[in-house]
Amino acid sequence: MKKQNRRDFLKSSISIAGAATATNLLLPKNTKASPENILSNDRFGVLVDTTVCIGCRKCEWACKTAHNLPAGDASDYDDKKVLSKRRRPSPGGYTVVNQYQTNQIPTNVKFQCMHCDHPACVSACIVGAFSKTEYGAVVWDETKCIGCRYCMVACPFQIPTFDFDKAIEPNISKCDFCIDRLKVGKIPACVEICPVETLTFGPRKDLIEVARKKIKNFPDRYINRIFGEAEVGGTSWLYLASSQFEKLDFPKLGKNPAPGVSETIQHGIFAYFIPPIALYALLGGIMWVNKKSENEDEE
Amino acid sequence: MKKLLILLLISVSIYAQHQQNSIKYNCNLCHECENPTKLNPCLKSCPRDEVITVYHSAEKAPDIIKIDLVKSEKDIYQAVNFTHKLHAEMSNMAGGCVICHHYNPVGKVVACRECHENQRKREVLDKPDLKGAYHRQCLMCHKTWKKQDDCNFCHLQNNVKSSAAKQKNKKNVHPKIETPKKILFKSNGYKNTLVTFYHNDHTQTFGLECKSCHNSDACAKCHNQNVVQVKNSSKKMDKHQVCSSCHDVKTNCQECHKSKEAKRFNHFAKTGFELKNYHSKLECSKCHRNGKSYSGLKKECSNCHSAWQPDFKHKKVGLVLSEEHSELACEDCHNLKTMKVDCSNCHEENFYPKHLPGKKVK
Repeated sequence: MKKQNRRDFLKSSISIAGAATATNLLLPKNTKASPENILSNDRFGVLVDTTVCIGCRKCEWACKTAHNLPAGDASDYDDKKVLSKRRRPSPGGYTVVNQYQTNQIPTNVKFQCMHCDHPACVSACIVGAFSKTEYGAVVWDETKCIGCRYCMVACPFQIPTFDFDKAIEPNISKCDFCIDRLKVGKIPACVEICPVETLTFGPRKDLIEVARKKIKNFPDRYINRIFGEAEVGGTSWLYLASSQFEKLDFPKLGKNPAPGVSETIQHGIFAYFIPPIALYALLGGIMWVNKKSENEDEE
Repeated sequence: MKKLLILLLISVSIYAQHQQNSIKYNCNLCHECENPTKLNPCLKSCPRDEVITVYHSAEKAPDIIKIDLVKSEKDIYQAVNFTHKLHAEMSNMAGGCVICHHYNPVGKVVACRECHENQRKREVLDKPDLKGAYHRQCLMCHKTWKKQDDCNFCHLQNNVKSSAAKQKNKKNVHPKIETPKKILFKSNGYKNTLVTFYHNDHTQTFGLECKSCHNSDACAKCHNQNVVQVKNSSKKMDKHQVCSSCHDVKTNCQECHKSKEAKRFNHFAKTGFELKNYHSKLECSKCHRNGKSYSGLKKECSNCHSAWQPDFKHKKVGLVLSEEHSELACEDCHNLKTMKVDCSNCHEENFYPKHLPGKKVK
């Protein structure tokens, strides 16, 4: 949104379309949002054990600090009254902890981007600003964003947020899995600060094993479900809980990747620009035939 | 001769092998599968409750432990001075040291840091790192009552001076536990009867320690009575379990289940044998040596005192004999069956108890 103006954008999209038409005629096997080469076995994830979280909100503070957002003092987060409000991630903070009165002891749930394996936002973004990285993170390029907010509509977890109160150059923002920290071998800021290790960082496949073991060893403590293992085709962030996830405001989602159907249609229509050209060719043909018959009539 | 020698050798080696095999290792204690290998030891996952062999009293525990191993990029809080002994004592009623030290096969007590890595980014993910382990262990109890899962309850913030830290430590003493005197249980099961439980009787008269009944109480039982930690089991045996270590809960229901409120335990009213002086200080089991049964003893002294010890000190019964009496044999004054005193052998009748053969002591 910042550096790219309308002219550049149109230029680039025309050139992409042109290049695509020029190259080959094969249809894509996978949707754009699920490039097989990106979903490596070593991609990272975070396991969130909601039965452990104490709602100290240090993750909120660490997240803001790591992303250079106004964070204030750590002690400002001691106020636990806000936990009972239903908050959502916002441009001012990419993660929030909400509290749910499930049992005598309340359950605290941290929300942030789930970093889907088949992200709907990547699929929906018309300028290709979103991408899934080999680390497992779903990130976006601010410089490409045109502020259409398709990603917000597409996301099954309603994660991307928009600077609605900014008139000039509003941004889309969300949790980026601390990609800059991952690149230098660090772990996400929220994971690092969590006092009780509610958040366990590691390769996603290992985390699923850890979660299965926990469920097996403590059947009274956890329900037998890892949220994110299969939901919308799997997410990098996985959740364990002691009560039904629907009671904790988790959306009811199927196991199919969110972009599956929509993207097949959307991308199919314009695939390599063949269907439009074919359509134009057909229309042109009809016109040509009609014109010919008109000429014959005049004669 | 040669054959005989070979035969001897073989038999010795078989015997030796047999000896080796007869040593019994309990592999299942640590390993899950039947054939653990070096590459795949298939160790049981923590907490390994049954793998605890080391026990010592809370008094022997270290007093205060400064927990300063965990360091991070930006430390918001100071290290905690953990009142270890105080917690060990409090844990007596909640399950003992085991509730924190959940793995201790042999040797000295294993500290948290010996199993839990002090590294959040690590390869073995199925047990929490040291920071997580510490906090989870504390919060397991602390978060069950209000306001105590606040970071500031244990930590001081970095900008607070150390004199304040010292004061905070001073305050960390568990207040005296108030004990109930009498609890009336209404039983729906057994003929709608009442069970009167005198707490004082059990702690003072019967000399029971707190932990002999309260061995798995959650802190929240007193600290947050809104939080019902233990679901009241409807099973009959679960309700009776606490009592069952002393009382016969299977057949003798009427002993505790009564139609109206019961009176306090009184040895004299129940048995006709009054407990005074030396006997009042004795543990029940000193006289009732027959394990669980507390009935069957007769009132006569000879039940227990079949033969008086030659070095018996009369002072124990609360009376120091005067010099001239101390030389006498027991039977000179006492009827050995009933231990009744009869002074008429030497003194005129009704001499005792007006005149004592010595001085009363306490």
